[in-house]
Amino acid sequence: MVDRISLLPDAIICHILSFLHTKDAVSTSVLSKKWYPLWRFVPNVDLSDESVPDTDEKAYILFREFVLSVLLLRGTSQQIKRFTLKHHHYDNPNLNKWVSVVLQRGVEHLQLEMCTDCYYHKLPTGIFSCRTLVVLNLDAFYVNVNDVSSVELPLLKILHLGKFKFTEYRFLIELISGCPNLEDFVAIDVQCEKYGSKGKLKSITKLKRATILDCDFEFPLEALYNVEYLNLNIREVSPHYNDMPAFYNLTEMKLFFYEYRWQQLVELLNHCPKLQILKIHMSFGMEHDENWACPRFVPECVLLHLRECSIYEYGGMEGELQFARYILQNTRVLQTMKVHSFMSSSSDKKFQLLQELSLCPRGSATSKLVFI
Amino acid sequence: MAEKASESSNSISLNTVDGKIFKVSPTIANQMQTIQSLIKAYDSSRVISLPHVNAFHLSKIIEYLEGKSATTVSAVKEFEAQFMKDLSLKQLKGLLIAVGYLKVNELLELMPKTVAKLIENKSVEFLRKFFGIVNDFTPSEEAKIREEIAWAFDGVDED
Repeated sequence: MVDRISLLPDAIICHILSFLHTKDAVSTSVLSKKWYPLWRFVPNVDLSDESVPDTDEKAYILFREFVLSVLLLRGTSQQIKRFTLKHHHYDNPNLNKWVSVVLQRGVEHLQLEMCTDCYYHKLPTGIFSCRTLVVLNLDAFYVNVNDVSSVELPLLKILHLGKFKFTEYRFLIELISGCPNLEDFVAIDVQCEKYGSKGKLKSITKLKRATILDCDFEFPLEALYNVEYLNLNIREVSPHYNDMPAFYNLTEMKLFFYEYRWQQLVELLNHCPKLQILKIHMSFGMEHDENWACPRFVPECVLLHLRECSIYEYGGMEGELQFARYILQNTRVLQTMKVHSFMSSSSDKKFQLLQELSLCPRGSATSKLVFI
Repeated sequence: MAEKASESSNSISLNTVDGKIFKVSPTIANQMQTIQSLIKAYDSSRVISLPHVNAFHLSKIIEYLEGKSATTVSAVKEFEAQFMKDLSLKQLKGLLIAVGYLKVNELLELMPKTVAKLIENKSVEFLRKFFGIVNDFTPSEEAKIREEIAWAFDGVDED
């Protein structure tokens, strides 16, 4: 038998191993003497305690020992480029230690996903001053602003915060100020305990994409003024527009629409003069249908740039129909209007909705109506 | 004559281990890092020998390098998926060695990913068979390593 693949340079074997979970990569050390050391040179570490039962304390201890040995068996000069941890157990006495090892190994991509329902883990220290980080993804963490001495993330381009809680608003200000090269920012279910001393959030000049959903405080949208893509819940939009600048670079927006804030929607569109793609999710099952009062003006984007509009969870209520009509009627360059009806609508109902929409006058002769 | 010289100076002859000669454009040949320095010194009277690459593997590599220059990103993806799908396991392993030898960077990105998918969560026995690896550990050495990394063997497929 020929060890055919062993003719391959170690670099290629390591490259193959880098696409595996660390657990699988480590298990290849038993294959042969040639393979034995190779997993240690794989630059990414990807771990999960998913297979460890909640109730099996012994297995959980073994898992934690395994992680520590994975981190420590590598040479200190071996870079850990990417570290991914998916963690389901509540209490992890080793998390700080693991993260501190990873932070010392020049980590560029750090992803800590704590898959625990109503529980926030205390964020390990040092992450916000790790100058090598390019991508940071944190899920289910709690940060006391007093524990963060400074934020210095000069290379950070992508920051995702999911289910994240911090003590004071000034943390957000410090965080954003410490990431001068941020291009992609996601904040979903982010909570701020004390709004208190507000301060001003610096604009994120290089930001291209932003997602702000389900945050329990009014997010200062003016900091995002440069984005090209915005994913937003209309609740995040302050009804006071004085502060809000125009998004001159914004070409695509995904919007979750609630409580029929039509006025706010038109006002928002008016602040997006170059918008080309609008995806709007209607709220499900709202009974009160605030009347859509057709605005006297047509926002610049609707008139001149909007080429694709999608409406999701369309129930055909008066306001929704009027809005769809308003778009169809006033856009000059619209190519497609996609309307996704409620999943539960009957086929008769769907036919009726389609008929209503089809009869709307069109501003763009070439626009297509797609009803799903 | 002059015309012929310019035509042949445009293409580069590669001789595989099983004696088949391929004529490829410099753009294609240049993507095989191992022979890049030879191409610089190349003249049309010469043939570059590839002692570790057979005709089938070289033809696949050329097919890939020509095919992936499709116009759109999705067309390239589709082409790559089909390219990998068409290879049998044996061909895949052989090609990976040829690609590693010639250092065709794009295939060196694509192929390991495919191999990784095939070996995900497989037993040691499966992996040894898959890669044709000779176990040079004594039973006691192997047992010791298995013990060191016992956690890694939890929940492995038994085929």
